[in-house]
Amino acid sequence: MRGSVRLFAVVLFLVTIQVAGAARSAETTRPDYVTRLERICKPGSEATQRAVRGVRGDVQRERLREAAPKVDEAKRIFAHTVSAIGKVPRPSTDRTTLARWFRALRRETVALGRTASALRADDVARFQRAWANFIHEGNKANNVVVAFGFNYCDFKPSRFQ
Amino acid sequence: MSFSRARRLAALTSGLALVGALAVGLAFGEQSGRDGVKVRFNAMITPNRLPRQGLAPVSVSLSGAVRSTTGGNPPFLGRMTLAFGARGGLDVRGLPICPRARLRNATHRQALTRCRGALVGHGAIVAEVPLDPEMPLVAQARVLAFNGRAAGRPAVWVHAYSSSPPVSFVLPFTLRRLRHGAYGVLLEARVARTLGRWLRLRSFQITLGRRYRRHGRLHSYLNAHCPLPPRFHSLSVPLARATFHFNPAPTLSTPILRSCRTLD
Repeated sequence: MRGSVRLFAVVLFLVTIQVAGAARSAETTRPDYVTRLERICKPGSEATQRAVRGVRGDVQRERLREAAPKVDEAKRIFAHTVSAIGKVPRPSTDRTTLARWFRALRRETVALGRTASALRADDVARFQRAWANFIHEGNKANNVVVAFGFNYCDFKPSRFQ
Repeated sequence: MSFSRARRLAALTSGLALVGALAVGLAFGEQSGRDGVKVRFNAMITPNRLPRQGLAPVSVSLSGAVRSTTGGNPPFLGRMTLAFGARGGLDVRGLPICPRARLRNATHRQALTRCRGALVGHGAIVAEVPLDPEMPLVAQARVLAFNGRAAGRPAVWVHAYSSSPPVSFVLPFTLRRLRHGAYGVLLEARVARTLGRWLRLRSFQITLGRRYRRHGRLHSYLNAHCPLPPRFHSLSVPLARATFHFNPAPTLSTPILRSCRTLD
């Protein structure tokens, strides 16, 4: 009886070691994570550029209401991309950094929504504030993950103009 | 207090002020990174309230830094371009030109004595001399920028001088007026060609701007405006963009958007 308990303990120990090893080898590395996210961000980034085409001209001609649906669409794409990349398993060593990044991205989504609503309301002062806030939040988000070397997942203000 | 002690104290104070200015300059700004390299860039325009129409005299402050994200040395910076300002914003008519040869091996004081009339900016540079890769020497050099001319086009000679460790070089920036895009002026320097194998640029801070008289009329080296629609009084617009070309890779571009405010 004692012999079989000992054997069971040894088998359990070996199984535990193997499971832990397999989990370690299956864990996402930073380069893998970046590649997966870039694949998700690329179509979103290109769609955003298409969606906001002409916004700059609309704002310069003070046609704010006409720019609003374009920025709204950009916000929808942005929120969808943030939600999609949020589901990708994160490398354990970067969990804290990435949690900060996702918080910053959520603030960016809110700021983009506020920009769209200010345009819809034809409120110049509110639009100026919301747009400045959106850029500020975008830069803050970028600074969190600068070491990751994102391209499509990075905030680039030129994509929103 | 003895004279030499007072001088040492003055040197230490100015050194601390220089480092402080750099730290303040680099504390904010936009970052971008790839392949183990991180760059930071910031730009500021003074004054920040500008007319909607017609150009007004301004000075532009540009600062940047290069870091490695992996702990080692970042790759060599091959080329650097800085784009900023409005179209038609560069005015060098009647501004004295400093021949580049007059700045070679010059100290800070000698450079000023020889080319004071062509002075268009000042700042600081931090460069690394990796004689020992584990403990590289850090040279904090004061910088003066002079109006020059290269191949018939306007140029800026950035003269850097540090007495300890002894470092003196002239970083030539060619100046181009841009006709398309968001910016009006492009400064370009082949950094690796000037600094060679021994110096690595870590950070820089430079303020460009000069007001001068020509035929009794006041001119400004740099000019800008804030062409916003009538109902707008401020808006975040592209102010400057730095592109760092590392050897062999990567190329990192950092645009800066800042609020443009109108005078009214």
